[in-house]
Parts: sequence; structure tokens; C-alpha cells
Amino acid sequence: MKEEAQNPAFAYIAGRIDKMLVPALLNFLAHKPAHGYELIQKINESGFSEIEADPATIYRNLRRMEEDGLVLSQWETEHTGPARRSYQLSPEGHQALEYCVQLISDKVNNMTAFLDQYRQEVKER
Amino acid sequence: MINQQILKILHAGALRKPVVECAKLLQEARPELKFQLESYGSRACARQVREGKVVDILALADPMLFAELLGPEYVDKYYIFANDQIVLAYNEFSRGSREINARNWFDILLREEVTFGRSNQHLDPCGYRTLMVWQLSEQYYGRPGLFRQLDQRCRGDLIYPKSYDLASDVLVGKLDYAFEYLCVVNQFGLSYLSLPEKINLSNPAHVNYYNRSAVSLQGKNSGDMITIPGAPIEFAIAIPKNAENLILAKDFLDLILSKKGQQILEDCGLIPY
Repeated sequence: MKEEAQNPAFAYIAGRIDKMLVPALLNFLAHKPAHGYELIQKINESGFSEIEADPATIYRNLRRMEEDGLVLSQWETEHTGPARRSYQLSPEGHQALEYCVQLISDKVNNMTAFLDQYRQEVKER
Repeated sequence: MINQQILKILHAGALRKPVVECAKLLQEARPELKFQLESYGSRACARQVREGKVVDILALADPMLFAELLGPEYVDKYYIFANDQIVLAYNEFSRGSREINARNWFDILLREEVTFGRSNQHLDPCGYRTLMVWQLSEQYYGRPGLFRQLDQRCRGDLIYPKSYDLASDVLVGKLDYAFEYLCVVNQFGLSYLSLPEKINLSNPAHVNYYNRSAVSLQGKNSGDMITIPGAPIEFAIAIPKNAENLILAKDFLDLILSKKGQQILEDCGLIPY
């Protein structure tokens, strides 16, 4: 985990974990490849992210994630009709998702400990 | 032989700058290459191809046009490559511009002394999208009759063939305001008012709300009418089946869809996919 955290992409994720946008994108793409249009809809429906999922924010994050090697993109060209750029998680993206899960778990544990202490020492006193 | 060195591009007026920038970049690598660029409202572009115009690249402001007017006879594959939004463009001397905001813009437009324009819905997607914005505004702001009021004030000469010309007239002060794509406003350096996301047709998250609006347009054949629902604004590009310079067209297409192309699109105010 220490080695992963030294990766610049992982440091970026850690700095913005509270917003939950990158974890949510990684999580959706871990299920199946998707294009940006679909991801915007899923992010907004899920309520996971605290950032409003406008197209500029989502596509900028996807481009950054691609530059950092977390996702791979390609144009869907196998069929006739409309083609869109499709994103899928890379092996490093899967590691980044695991890293997010660890960060979120740590936060949840800390918050749970805080709530427990509040209930025991403040509310019930 | 000469023909092989000329790449013919027919494009939505709104895509003028990114198309020119990509053409310049391609020309740097191939100095012998010439370009023939033509721009109209996207519906007008699609109709020209249907009527036999031969081009190597067709870039339009609504992917729906490929399905509605061109596929599968003229185009079998098209790439949806960018997103945008409708904004209200103005210049520094536009009447009411110092007090206009996202809650009062329609009241300012309806003032007697204020002029505003839109593009023609039968020629240009920005035109039907503007009518959709007005319909959605009526619901969003709870102002029954707002669509009709705006529509009655924006008639005749205030309806332009394409959004690009509209921006140009706002720039020189012929119009106080115009409903425009953000990318066109950026290309002209105009001031603009952002409209709420629920009415500006930018965000796929609001597609169901956008669907509440609909506009009737001239269809494929003379006399036909079709009704199209509101949807997020997207741009698409294709190589028509009858393109004469397939290799050059493919190079241009690959460039605009590449990382470099994405940067050019973003610099021009679009949101690249």
C-alpha cells in the first residue's frame, strides 16, 4: 500500500477522496466498460459523489485518469451507426480502486470511532 | 491527381475554429495538402449531402442528423466527439447586460428596446435547441406563456441561417443578445450568461427533463414533418460513403479524435469526449 501511495495518481486520489468522484468512476468501470455519457448518468443517479457530475468535470477526470494509466479508452468501431469513446479499467485502475476502498474504509472506521465516542461520552452523559 | 490533394470538409458553423485548427495541424505535416472548408447550419449541411454534394468529412452539431437524414445511404458510421451547452451571448453595450442574471434574463429580453436572435430551426440545430430552451424555461421558472412571448419577439430578420452569423452580429452590436453554443461565444470572445443546467441542454443527467421539450421540423422529404425531443447537445463527425479522399479524410478524422484533437476542441470551448 505504501508503494502504491507514492504513485502520483494515487496521491491525487488520496487528496480528493472526500469528493468521491474518482472512486465512483473506478467502481462503475470495474463492473463494465462504459462511455462518458453513461458514466455521467450513473454518477448522478448513485449519489456517491459530492461533486456535481457535469460533463466538463467527468470528461476532464476521465482524461486525467487515462493519462495516469488508470483507464484505457478506445472508440467503439465494430458496428455501424453512432460510435463513442469507451473507457475500461486498466490493471492499475483496479489497484487504484482497491486503494480507494482502503482509504474509505479507514475513514469509515475513524468516523465510526468518533460517533461511538460521542454517544458514550457526550450524548449519554 | 490534383483532387487527391484537396480535402473537402463540410461542417457546422459552430465547429469553424476547431476544424480550421485541425486543418492547420494536418497541413504542417503535409504542406502539399489543400483544404476546402464550407460551413452552414448542420441541417443544411446534411441536406446538401443528401442532394449529392461530395465531401470527404462531414462534421455536424447533432448526431441525430446522421440517423435521421443520412444513414445508412450516405453515412454508415459517425463519431460522437464533443458536448456543449446553450448560453445567452451579449456584448459590453447590450441593453440590460449589467443587470442580467439566470433569474431575470427572460424579463430583460422581453423589454421593448431589447433585441435578441436565434438561428433557424429548420437549418441549424442551435435553432431548435433554442426553442427547446424556451419551452423548458417556461416549466423551470414557472412562467406560463413564456415560450410564446419569446417566440413572438424573435421573428423575421432576428432568425438567422446559422448560429455563427448570429454571434457575429452580437459582436458588432446589431443584436443585443443571441442564444448560442458556448464554443461559438468563446470563439468570438463574447460575454455570456450561463443558463441553469436543467434548461441549457448540456448534461446527460437531465435527459429526462430535456425530453419534456419537443420541436417539429421539416423531415427527410418535402412536406414531411418530424418531432424531435430535447436531448443533451453533442457534435458528431463522419466520412461520407462517397468521399473521394478516403486516406486524407481518415487522417483528419483520426486527428480530431486524438489527444491533440481533444486539446484543440477544449481550447475552442467544447468538451471533448
